[in-house]
Amino acid sequence: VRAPDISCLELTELNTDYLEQALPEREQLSFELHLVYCVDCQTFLSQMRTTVTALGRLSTHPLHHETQQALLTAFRARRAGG
Amino acid sequence: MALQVAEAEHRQSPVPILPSDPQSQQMDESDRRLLDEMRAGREDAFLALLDRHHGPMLRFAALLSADETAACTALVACWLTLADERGGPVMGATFRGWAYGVLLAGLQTDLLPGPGGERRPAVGQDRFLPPGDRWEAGWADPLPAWRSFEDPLLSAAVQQQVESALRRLSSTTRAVLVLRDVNRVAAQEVTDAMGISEDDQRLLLHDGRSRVREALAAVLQVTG
Repeated sequence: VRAPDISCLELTELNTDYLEQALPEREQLSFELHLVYCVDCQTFLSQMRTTVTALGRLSTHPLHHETQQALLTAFRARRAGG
Repeated sequence: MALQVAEAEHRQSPVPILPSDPQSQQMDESDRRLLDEMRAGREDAFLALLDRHHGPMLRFAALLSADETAACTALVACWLTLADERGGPVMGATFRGWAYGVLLAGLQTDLLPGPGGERRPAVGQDRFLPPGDRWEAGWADPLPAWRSFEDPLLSAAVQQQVESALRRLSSTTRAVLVLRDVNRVAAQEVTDAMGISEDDQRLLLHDGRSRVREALAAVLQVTG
């Protein structure tokens, strides 16, 4: 199966489908063949991965003791039919 | 060839797509067991579910709400609904997908049923060579590399930039992006929670990631 070449612009539009493993086999092959020779698209894909990593590092909201106790009180009241 | 090997290793999305991977499945089984125990009145089960999901759910609610108070109010109501003996994950859905659906309903955020509007390109068209050029649709200029954001000083700027970019997204796109990439919720759980199709989920994810990438370029791009 010969995979047709894709342009850099097309690669930028397909990157999410690629990362989500949603590309048909032929398009996935075209995508990966393009990456073999295109340094800028390698950079672009790396930046998309960095973006996902950065999103995953947003600070968390800890469960404060007071919140936990308030929720537990509400849970008890609900159980007691209150 | 080395690149192909590297691509094969990295092809897997850094965030889960299906909730059927062993780790997600194990967590869902544990969640469902805790849900049953919580509904039987076990406080330790309620606390265990709180401990596991409250933080990410509050972060989601806070990023979807106008203020933290509204987010907290919606989350308290959500937990009491989850603890109620009625309702529960429908066939094929996970506890997490169901719980986020309950939370979203309580947040009363205006979500569009799909991407809506005109689809925006991932990268500005002016970054590519115009039609008729020998290398049409290729990069017009080399793409500037990014610095690593591991530097603690840069890390704070990155976090701020990401949060600002998220706030600028439509609430529907923001909901998808926060669930998928911030809270690492599997794609199928997101479609369950939001009642959108897999294709729409991916389109929204694509748009959201593209906008955050643009914002990050402002702080990470190596200039000069």
